Amino acid sequence: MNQTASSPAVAPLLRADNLGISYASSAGLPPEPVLTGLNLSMQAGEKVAMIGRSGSGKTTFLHACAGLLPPDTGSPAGSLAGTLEIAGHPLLQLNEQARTRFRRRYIGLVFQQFNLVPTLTVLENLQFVLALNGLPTHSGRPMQLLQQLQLKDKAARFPRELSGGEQQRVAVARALVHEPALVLADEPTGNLDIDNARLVARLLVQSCAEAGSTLLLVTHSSELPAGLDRVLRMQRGRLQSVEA
Amino acid sequence: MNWQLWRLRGLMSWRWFRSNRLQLLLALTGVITGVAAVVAVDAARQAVASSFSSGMLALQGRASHTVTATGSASISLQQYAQLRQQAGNLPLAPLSAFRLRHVDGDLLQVQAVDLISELQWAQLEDNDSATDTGAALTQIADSDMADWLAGAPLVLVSENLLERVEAGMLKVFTPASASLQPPAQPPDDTGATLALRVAGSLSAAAAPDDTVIMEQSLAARLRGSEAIDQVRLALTTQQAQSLTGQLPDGLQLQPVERGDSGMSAAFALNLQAMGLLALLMGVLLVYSTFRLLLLQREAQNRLRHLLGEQQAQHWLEMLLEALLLGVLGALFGWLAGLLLADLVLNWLQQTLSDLFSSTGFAARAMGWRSASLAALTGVGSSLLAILPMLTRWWRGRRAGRQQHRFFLAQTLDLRVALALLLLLVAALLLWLQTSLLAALAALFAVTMAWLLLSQRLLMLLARALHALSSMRTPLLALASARLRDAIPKMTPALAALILALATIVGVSSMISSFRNSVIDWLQITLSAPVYLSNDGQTMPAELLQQIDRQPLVAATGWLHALPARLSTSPDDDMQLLLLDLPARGQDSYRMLDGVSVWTDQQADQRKQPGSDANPAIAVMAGETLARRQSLQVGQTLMLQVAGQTRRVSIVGVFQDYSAGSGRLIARRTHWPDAPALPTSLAVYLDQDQVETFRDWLQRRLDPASAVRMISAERVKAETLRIFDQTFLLTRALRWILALVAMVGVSGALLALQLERRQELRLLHQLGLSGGEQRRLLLFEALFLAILAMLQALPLGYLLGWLLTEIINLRAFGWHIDLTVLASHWLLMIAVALLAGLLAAGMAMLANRQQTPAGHGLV
Repeated sequence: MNQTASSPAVAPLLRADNLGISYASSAGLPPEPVLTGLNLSMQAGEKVAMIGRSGSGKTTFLHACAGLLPPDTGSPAGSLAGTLEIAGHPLLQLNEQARTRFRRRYIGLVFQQFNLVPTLTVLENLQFVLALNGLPTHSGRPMQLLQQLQLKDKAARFPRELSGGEQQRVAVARALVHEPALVLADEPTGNLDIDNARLVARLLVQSCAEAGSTLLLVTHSSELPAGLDRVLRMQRGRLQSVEA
Repeated sequence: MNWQLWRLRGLMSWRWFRSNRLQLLLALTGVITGVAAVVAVDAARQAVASSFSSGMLALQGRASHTVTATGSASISLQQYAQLRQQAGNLPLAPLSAFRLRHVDGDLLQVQAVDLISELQWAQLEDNDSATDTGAALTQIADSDMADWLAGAPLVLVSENLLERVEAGMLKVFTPASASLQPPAQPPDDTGATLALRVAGSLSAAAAPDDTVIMEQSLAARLRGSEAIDQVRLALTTQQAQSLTGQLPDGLQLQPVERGDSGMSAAFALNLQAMGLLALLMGVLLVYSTFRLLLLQREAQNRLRHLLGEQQAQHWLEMLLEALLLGVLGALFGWLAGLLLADLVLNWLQQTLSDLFSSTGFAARAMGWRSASLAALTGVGSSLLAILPMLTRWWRGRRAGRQQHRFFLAQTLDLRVALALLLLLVAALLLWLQTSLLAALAALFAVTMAWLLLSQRLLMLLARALHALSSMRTPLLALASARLRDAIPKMTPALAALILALATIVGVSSMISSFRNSVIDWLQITLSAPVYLSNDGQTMPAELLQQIDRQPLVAATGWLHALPARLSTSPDDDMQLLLLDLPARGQDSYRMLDGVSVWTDQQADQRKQPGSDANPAIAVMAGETLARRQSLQVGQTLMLQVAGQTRRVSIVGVFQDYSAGSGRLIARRTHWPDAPALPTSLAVYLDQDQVETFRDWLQRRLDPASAVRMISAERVKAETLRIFDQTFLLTRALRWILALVAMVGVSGALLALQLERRQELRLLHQLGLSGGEQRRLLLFEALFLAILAMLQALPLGYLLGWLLTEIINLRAFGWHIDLTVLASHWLLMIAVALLAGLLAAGMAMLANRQQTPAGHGLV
């Protein structure tokens, strides 16, 4: 079943129309479809979870939203079809530089593996994103976020000196520090114990709500945090159902 | 400029290097060794070249022209006075050369100079050797000028004669022509000997061995003649033209010909090829270092890209880093290279006192050339390493694994295409162009092509090795699999090792081939055990008669050398040798084409009565001359000899490794108006009678006689000694390349192990014991050595073939047969295994720091 998942808002922040993505197979085999005819619309400030089994296409969609897939179709790298527009930017038509600029300004990323820059302290990790965007690094914003995420006393620590839960909370702070329009979280609790997973998930949703950022949370966990507006289910590259 | 961003970037770089000190050390070592190899080879090459050139200058000075008397006469004092008048203020210095016999029996070369002229002349010189001569003369001028000018027996001697100086005196036989009168005659002169007071010595660079320098007035009295042999002048072309028209009668002005002997030129060429290969190897090592460094930081860089950092900004940062490390590495590499060159040259100087002069460290360190080379290699190669990533960014504009694979595939194809193009270019260069430059370019193109193909070939070999080792133990299979996966990252470092190993094989083959050919040639050519010569003059008739009557002598061979020119190439000097050899000496020429003048039947027929009234005289041409003048067997030429033009016919081409401009050989009996006396004589007698003959001859020679006897054995030994000394530096430089390659490859392997230490930790956690880990690393390193060896061998022989059969032939006209020796293989295998063991040892050492737990389970 191919289903359009949309909210009745006037100008959606994210709009995917008939989006199809396939990866090239090795040894000249035909491309393998990962997403097929995906339609989705998300309003600004919405908090949406996307669930599904491994290999269902969740992460690929997330990567596409972050501008991490090649734009041109018919290349040996695979093919793209349809439309994907975020904050008015037609992502599939942008070149690499434009997509990088877009990602830097509009997207906040939270990964399963934390992915903090190991050679920067907690505070510097946040400042790096601000500096990339040309924003003042010594404003109160990074410390305010760290306080909100209960990390104020860890500001001068390096990532290797933090626990997994703490590292993921830093990643959440980093994703929000430049007030992005859309926060993309890819299995953010996958590497954490239950308590830390709950804490991080709660803080993620809460912080996005406070910052007014839209959240797309990809997970295969059945335990979802409170405060989500919608839950989308992916199966074999298609959106199968929408749960309120 | 976003200073905050650059501050954070700087912090990231700084902290990465601080927490990965070993990687930083390896990176710097890689750059330093690469640069050091280039600088050391070049500095050593330059130092030796300048040493040779100093030697030439010591012999000829800065003279651009010489004035000599026409014919065989000397310049009279009257002519010299006229010349001084004509020359005006032009700098000139008279020189006479003759020989004195030391009381030990050896001949000494005497150079008689005019002190005043020589002091003025010394001011023109700016080279070390001339300054040395100038300083010694100035010292005399300050202390013993009166004695010197009064013709006192005061001399300067070359360094090697100092050991024969006793109580400040050098004893020589007084020539019969000498007219020494008191008070010049020292009181301790006894009978036929004369003691010369040694006022100073000249270094090996300033004066060749066995040289004595004295004042003209003393020389005049020793020779019994005031004549001057030549006058040296430093002239511009215009001044030379102007002076030519004003020369006194009987004098001629000639430009000074500077030239090294064939062997020196071969040596210089060989060093040039070595320099080229060293540069390539240095570039590869530095490139490899930075490629590994970038690969190690790729994960962090990818993360930054995910956060929104533009790749262009990122490469700019990498570029700055590479620049900084490149400059630092180039600086230290420069110093290390100079030190290395210094060590090699010092060792050479201790080994060879007669070939190489002292060239101080400071003199080489000041050279802009070596500094530029260091900067070019260090910084240029560092920046080059960034290039593939910049290309990827420029062309790719995509992200993700698929794109990466796509790019890699494209790059590989590009490499193969480029390699094939280079091979085509090399083939065309060798086929269409006959110049030496084209041959050197072909050598470079072939080497580059092989190295470009190396990744593909290494992968093929690694797969084969893996298939073989999989049948043995799991550890061998794991080692070969790990190596196979590492090859894309290790290729530049492996290419450097391949190049070093190939250079060992190629250069060794070339030297052995050359040496063996020279030995064969000497063996065949020197058929008589003893040779006599008279310093280019004809042999005394009386002595020849005495030799003919001497019962020890079975036969004699007759040789007269005459300067000759071809009518078609009047500027090309050559020698015509008129020979009259006994039957046993007639086989002493190895014919490369045609027949010898002794076996040419037509030549004898032409001499029969009633044959052609003006027949072409049969001659055979030396290979050098034949190639230079494109002479063919059967060709008839007009030859200008001693003012007459003769028609000659080429009947054969013989192998000729002698130095000089080339030789034609004719039978004396076939040459009309052949000189009555020879300039050299081959004496055939039993080998064990040589010393008896020497004693007999010594008793019959006047002390002032220039007749010299030399045994064939001595000629062979001396030739091979000079050959081995000449190529000693080449051998030493080969070892520098091998050493640097070993360090470079070990560093690269260690860097790779550091990058993969997590994998090793995992294996340890899965139960691989410490001993098994060490064996794994050892197998990996040995496999690596085997792969490098397998690829170096064909390239080595290709280089050897190019150097021997193409480059030597084009440079000198010498045909040399390529000799393939098992010892070259063994040498290469030893170096490769040593490199492997060193790499394994370093990797084991680094791995010892790791514990199974490490930073937790992987």
